[in-house]
Amino acid sequence: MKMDKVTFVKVETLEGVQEHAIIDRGNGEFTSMLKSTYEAQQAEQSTPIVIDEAETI
Amino acid sequence: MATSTNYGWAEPDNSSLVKNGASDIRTLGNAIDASVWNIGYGQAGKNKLINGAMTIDQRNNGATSTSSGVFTVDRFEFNASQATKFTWGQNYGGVTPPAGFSKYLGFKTTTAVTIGAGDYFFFGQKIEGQNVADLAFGTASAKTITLSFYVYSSLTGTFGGALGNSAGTRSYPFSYTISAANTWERKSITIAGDTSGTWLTTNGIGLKLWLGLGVGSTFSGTAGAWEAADRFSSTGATSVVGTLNATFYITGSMIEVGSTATPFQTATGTVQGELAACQRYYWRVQNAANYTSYANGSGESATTAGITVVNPVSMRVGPTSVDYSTLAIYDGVTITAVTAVSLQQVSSTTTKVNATVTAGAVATRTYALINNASSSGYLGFGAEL
Repeated sequence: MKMDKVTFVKVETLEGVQEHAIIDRGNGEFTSMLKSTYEAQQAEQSTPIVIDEAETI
Repeated sequence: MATSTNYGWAEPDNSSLVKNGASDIRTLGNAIDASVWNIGYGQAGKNKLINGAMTIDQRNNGATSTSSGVFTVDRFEFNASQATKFTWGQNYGGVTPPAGFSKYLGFKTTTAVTIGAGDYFFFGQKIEGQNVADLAFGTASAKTITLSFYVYSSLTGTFGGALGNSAGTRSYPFSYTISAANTWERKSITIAGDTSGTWLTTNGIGLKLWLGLGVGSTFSGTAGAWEAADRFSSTGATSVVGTLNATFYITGSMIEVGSTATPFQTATGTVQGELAACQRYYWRVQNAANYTSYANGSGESATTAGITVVNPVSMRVGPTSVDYSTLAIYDGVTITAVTAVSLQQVSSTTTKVNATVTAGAVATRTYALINNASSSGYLGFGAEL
């Protein structure tokens, strides 16, 4: 079963630190969005995910 | 016998009318009926579904996938309670589309699943509220609409789907019959508009259309009536996912005002118009050559370059997600691989992303965001409903 790998990262911006979710789609393909957006999407879906530890980039 | 000025309808003269009576009137009436029906050709704007001919496939470019909770061809999303039970893709299955079409969206089961009450496998489209405001749903003036599509399946029987509102508090389950296996059939379902409930007319979700591929009882309702519930299909519908290697193909999907399915037309009437309509919700650039450039920006630290892109059309909202693969930043001398891309400042017209590298970026230095030694790099932005 294919499972997306998700990493949460903190990004420093002009507006301060934002937390983003980076979803590894496999084959070197990624999708990034604000963590809050990702969590809202997950609330509507039941797609299995694997969550890694947070890191700062 | 005279003919009408514009459409050339044969108009009976007095002697013919006296002689043939109702027969002449029926002939003229049928000619008028045929002309009015055919006016549907080329009538851009009548179709509320974008990419109904399944021609635009920015994310996958014709490739197949087993993922769920994702978009298949543009605007059509596939949702499932169990992963990898279907393979799907544009023209997946390799059958000839119905006359007048070049593309379809195909599904095939990879595993037979006996669905439980809470299981669901369905696909469809969320339509922006501004595009269905004229339907006046939720008011006494709600208009009757007709859904039509071409379908081809290895299975026959009664199948189901549902319309719904944004909040999942109003649904209209419907059913349709596939009579012959492995044969394109055009189906139409006429639905009296909902006079109750809350239906958004903003840039949020105005109307949801779902077609079931196997939906449990929790999300199925009685066909043919509005109800205060969230449904994806109708009770008793055939479960496509229940049969190993079952196929289900669809194209020419349309939702229009009225009680008759008129000839199919895309939402915009042109392939470029259809692409632009899709790009309001998602757009992607993918240069098919190594090291080609997507956008420019400047270094902000040793690990970050800020890159600004102009969206090709005004998006529904500022992008909420960014897709990327195999990118680098380039200052004219050095190519540095990008390890992550994140949204920073977004609007419906422009988007700034941060391209993160491990080290070596220089603040204030100008950078181009490029494909990194690959023709498979890309950058895409989503503002989906």
